[in-house]
Amino acid sequence: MRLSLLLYFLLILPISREVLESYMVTHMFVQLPLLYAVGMLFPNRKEYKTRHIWSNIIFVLGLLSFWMVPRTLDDALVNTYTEILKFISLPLIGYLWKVSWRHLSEMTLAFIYTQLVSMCGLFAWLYLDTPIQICNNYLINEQKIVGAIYLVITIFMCGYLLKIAFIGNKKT
Amino acid sequence: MKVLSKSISLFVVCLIVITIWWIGTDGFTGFTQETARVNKLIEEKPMIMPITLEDSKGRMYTFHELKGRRLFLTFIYTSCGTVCPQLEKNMQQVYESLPREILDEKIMFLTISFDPDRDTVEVLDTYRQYFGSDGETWRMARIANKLELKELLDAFGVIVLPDRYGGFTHNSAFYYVDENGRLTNVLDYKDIEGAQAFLHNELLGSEMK
Repeated sequence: MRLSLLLYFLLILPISREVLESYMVTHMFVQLPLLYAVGMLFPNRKEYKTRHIWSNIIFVLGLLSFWMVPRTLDDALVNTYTEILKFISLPLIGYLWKVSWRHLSEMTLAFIYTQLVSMCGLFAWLYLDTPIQICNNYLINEQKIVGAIYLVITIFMCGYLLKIAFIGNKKT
Repeated sequence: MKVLSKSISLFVVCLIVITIWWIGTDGFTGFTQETARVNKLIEEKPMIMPITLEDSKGRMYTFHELKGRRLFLTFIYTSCGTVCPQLEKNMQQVYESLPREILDEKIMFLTISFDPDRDTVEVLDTYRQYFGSDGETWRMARIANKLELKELLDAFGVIVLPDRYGGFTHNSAFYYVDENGRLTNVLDYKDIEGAQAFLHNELLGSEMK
């Protein structure tokens, strides 16, 4: 609880926002994941009612993909409402995912996972290959770095898939 | 009862997600800020302001003195090695597709540099020759006053970010200003045929009336 709130407080400080948001890479791969972590670290209530799992999942996936649209990063820089939405929705996504994912079947989890892999691959290709500037507020070479990071993530996620396929995911 | 509350919550969540997406992407039309910017400009049609230009022949005049002529604009800096030469090459193709008399009377091609420190009159005069600009019907100009430059870039939504190597990252497009001095269209600079078709329709079409 304390850790989560402390992290949130640190992220919301004007100085950390300015530093993290001045580079596309840190905005996307440091600030956003940390905001998500704020939600993940937030403690569970003792017993979470399992009734609204699918509502939670749809919210998580719908908003997670929303934050992957190049424009939303740009908008968060210039539009206060988008910035506020970012600081509310990402911790919420983290929390909802944490309390919900265990209730999903393995099949559904696998489906979501493969979707994520292909999404990361798509973004890697988009950011690496495009000659034009996708985010108006960031430099083109930063875009390339973001693309490269997406590529690395995709490779690792694929590697994990292969590991499950050939070795299995039993935790021994 | 359980089922009912389940479906209500599902419905509400879907509604929230769709609303956020709808607002965030202008009704699923603008997925990058660039498309959003272009859509907004075309909708608002801003007036061009009386900003002073200095062209490759050293002449000074404002946009208002050019009124009555349509303008076909691009924004560049001459030290640019990537997008700008391509942008100007494409502009050249659009330029060359128009008949002489139209270029003399109806429309002016204008390339504006946003780097007045380096792009002096002489530099612009050399640069224009690479693209077959005659300095009259296709002029290259700079805006020496930085406040005025910023005002124009802001009005057109041109975002120019200096990078660490003395260059700039910037968004590119063809801008079309009509005879009343209103920015009425922003065109994809990679779609040369689209821009040609638009101008032919706009200029030759109005002649037949």
